[in-house]
Amino acid sequence: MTATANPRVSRSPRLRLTRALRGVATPAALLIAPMVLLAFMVFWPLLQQIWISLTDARLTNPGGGSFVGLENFEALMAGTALPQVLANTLAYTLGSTGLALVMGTLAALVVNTRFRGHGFVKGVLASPWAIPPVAAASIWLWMFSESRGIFNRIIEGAGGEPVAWLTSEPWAMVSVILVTAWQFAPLVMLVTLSALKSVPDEVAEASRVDGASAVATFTWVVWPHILPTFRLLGILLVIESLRRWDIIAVMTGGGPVMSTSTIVVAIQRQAFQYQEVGMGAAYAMIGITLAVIFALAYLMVERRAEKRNGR
Amino acid sequence: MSAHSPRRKRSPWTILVAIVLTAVVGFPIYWMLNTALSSQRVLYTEPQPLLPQLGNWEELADDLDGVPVVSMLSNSAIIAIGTTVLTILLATLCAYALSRYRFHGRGLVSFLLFSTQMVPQAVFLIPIYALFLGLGLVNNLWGLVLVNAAFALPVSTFIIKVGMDGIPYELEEAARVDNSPPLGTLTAVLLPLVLPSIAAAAVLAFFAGWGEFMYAATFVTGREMWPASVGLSVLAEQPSSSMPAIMTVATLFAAPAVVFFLLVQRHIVSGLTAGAVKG
Amino acid sequence: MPQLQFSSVAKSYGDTQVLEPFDASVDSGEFLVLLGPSGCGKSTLLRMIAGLTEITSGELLFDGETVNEWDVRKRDIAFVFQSYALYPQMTVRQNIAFPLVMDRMKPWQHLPILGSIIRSRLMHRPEIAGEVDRIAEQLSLVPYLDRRPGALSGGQRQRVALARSLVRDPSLYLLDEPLSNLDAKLRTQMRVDITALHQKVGKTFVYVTHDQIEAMTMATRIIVMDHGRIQQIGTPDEVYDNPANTFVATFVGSPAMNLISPDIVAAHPTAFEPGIAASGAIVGVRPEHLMLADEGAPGLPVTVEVVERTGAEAIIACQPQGQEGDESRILVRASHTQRRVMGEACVLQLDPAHVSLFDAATGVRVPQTSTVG
Repeated sequence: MTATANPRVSRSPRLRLTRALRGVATPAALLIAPMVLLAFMVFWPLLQQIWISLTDARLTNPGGGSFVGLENFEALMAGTALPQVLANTLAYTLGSTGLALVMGTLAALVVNTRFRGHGFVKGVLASPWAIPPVAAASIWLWMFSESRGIFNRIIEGAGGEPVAWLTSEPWAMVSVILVTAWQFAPLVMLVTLSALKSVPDEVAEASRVDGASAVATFTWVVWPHILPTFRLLGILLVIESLRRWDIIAVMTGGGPVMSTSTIVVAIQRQAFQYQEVGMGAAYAMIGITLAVIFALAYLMVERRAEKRNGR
Repeated sequence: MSAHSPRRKRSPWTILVAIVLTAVVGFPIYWMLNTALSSQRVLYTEPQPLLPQLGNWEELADDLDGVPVVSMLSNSAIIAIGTTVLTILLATLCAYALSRYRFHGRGLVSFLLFSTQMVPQAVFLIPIYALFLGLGLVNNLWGLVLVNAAFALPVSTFIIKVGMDGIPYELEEAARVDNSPPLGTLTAVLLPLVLPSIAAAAVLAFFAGWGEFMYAATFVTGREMWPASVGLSVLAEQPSSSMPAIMTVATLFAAPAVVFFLLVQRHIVSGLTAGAVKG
Repeated sequence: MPQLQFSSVAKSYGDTQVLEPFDASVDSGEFLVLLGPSGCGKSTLLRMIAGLTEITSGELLFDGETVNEWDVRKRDIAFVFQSYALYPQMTVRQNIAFPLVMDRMKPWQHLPILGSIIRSRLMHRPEIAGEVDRIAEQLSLVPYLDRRPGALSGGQRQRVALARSLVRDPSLYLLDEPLSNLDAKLRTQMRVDITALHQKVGKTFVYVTHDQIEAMTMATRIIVMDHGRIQQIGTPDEVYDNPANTFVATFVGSPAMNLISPDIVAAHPTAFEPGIAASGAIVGVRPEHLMLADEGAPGLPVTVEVVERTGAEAIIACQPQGQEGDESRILVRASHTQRRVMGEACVLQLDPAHVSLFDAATGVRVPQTSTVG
């Protein structure tokens, strides 16, 4: 019984080929339909978008612009619009993510205790996530109405000056952030809640026995346990708000004077209102770059955390 | 408080925060219903009553006259159901391949799915518009189904894959030994076990189709083709629209999604967290 | 009822050889046990017989026919998994009926929804329902037929797994550590049950275990494996009495065979047969083939270290004089009437008929030239 080479170990190359093919054939058959859909809806459009961003295409013939090199990008860099769009995107993304994380965690901590009416409270706090964004936007549009909205009515009732919520800076940005956070917070709540439930009771109890206060228990026991979930939620919401168009489109349309124009709003407006498809595509390239930067930043943070935990 | 789960004891502060949070978060929903039941005349002339007014049904019916509510909701339903069916079909295939086979290019497929999830959908708006112009899919509900399914595919695939990863492969081997052909193993053994994950993915895909706005607003031009998202936004933009009518449409648009969501909430969250952590 | 034949069968993953080429044949109706520590490749070998894992090279033959490329389904086998692999969403009845139902379904009938309707209709066919009842009766599973596996104890799950493999009346039974998840008492019981089952159905069984007691009690033939290499093939008696190398000698038997190093043998030449003392080999003796005599008698002088009484007998651990440590310790199986105390100086005598010799360098058994009858 020795380990010397067996003549049968090296089979005929043809048989090995059939085996290799057999190994790939089934997954390939399973993946062909999903990949064809993605190819048509994502990969091919992405390549085309890169090409279009180098042309002066117009909406009437999006594929037929002539090559202009980096002119679109030069125009973007030269103009004043891009810095503002980037600042808006940053404000909107970080604002709505931050607010949603705070509100959602607060809600999760509340819902994690037992009290009468617990189910009702949880249901109400979870609902905004399921409301279609356009419906959410139109509800808030009405509440933010300058002349007849409930907010200004309350402010005036308290003796204040009515606010032009959606037509003045910086209130327009504040308003869209509020609505977006209102929609995101339930997701934060539900996911954080399931992370909280996985904190081992014994550990929390042990720290209580050791004389830690409720705040100390949270800081030293609960918080480290839910931190990875929290980071993940952070990146998910950042990505999601980078993609968000509907709420801003319905509520402000990017105005007033571009003060709520994020990258996504700019892409759509440039291409479909100004009909400058090439410029729109240039904006899209910048949007992709932003998404990649955020994703990389997240991956780096994760890697460092993993190293620290010695995993 | 159950005996075996010694969660934090409730303090008066907790109750207070719970009440305030619920009031703040729930208020817009209440206000939507309240406004839907109000009279447009009253809204324009006096402060909106804080309590719901019942009895403005006829006025509401008049206001809604000419708004294609039924076709809007049924268009949304067609898009949502089409998206769900297509997404789940493809995502299940994809998840099965990724979960059960080790093949060359597996990492690449995962990466492609992951990156699709990262990029803003708006990026593809122009080229897909160009593509659909050529294919005659502009102003067509099925075009929207294709778009939504493509964007919902990655998340759905991750959720179902994580579900499948949790099912021991030995069960499928046992089925093979028990004389089951591959299709039988899939339908009789594996799929029933990952049904919760599939359900979670299906709900997410349904939401994506039901509420989608950007592509619908850009691609759909005909009034009879409007899904509810487009119809509602057009209604909300017209100064002549009655606010109770807008809020009624918003309610009809939101209610199915909210009810659906509250019913299956538990499964979605476990699917989402699992998918998020692994994906 | 196939006769199994392995011809240079081997398995490797990439460059890692997990099973080295070997030849063996198993007659039909035998109870073959693949025995070895975890990670020795025994489960891989079993899965290769089943067709769940591909054979890298060599040929596996059922009744003289090469089956390397045969699909699992064509091999007509039953496989009992270590985890039992019961379908958790199905009742016990559905689990047991599953192979019968699958046999009767056409390929297109497996489509979703349609498939579940057809499956539940087939369940009610008298020949299937009757067969399930018969098997359930045989394994006393009748009261649990409508429960799901999650609501059963380990022993009940084990019986369901057996029932599911029995119901199809396959010609080859493959069992992968089926008793490892049971408690000691149940394991003894199931050992008897499986042996009885083997005798009753008279089919070929291949049984994987790391438990040498299971191997010794159930097998008609044992393949001992270690590190992907076949160490010995033989009947339980052959493996026990004539271990092929030091690995088999120490792996089979409890307590293990004593291995006395050549140094000790050389230091006390008079204690051993002349041929043995001169061989320079490792001397292997089972604890029951050693006797303790009072000091002064001829033999190997030792000191008693520990006396462990287990009732009918006692295991006495001795240390050859001038030695210390676990390696040189020698265990003796003695009658409980033997009265020895710790620290007592004794003499160890070997039963020359039951001595094995192993090459000091390779550990391989050395054929004995002068065997005293």
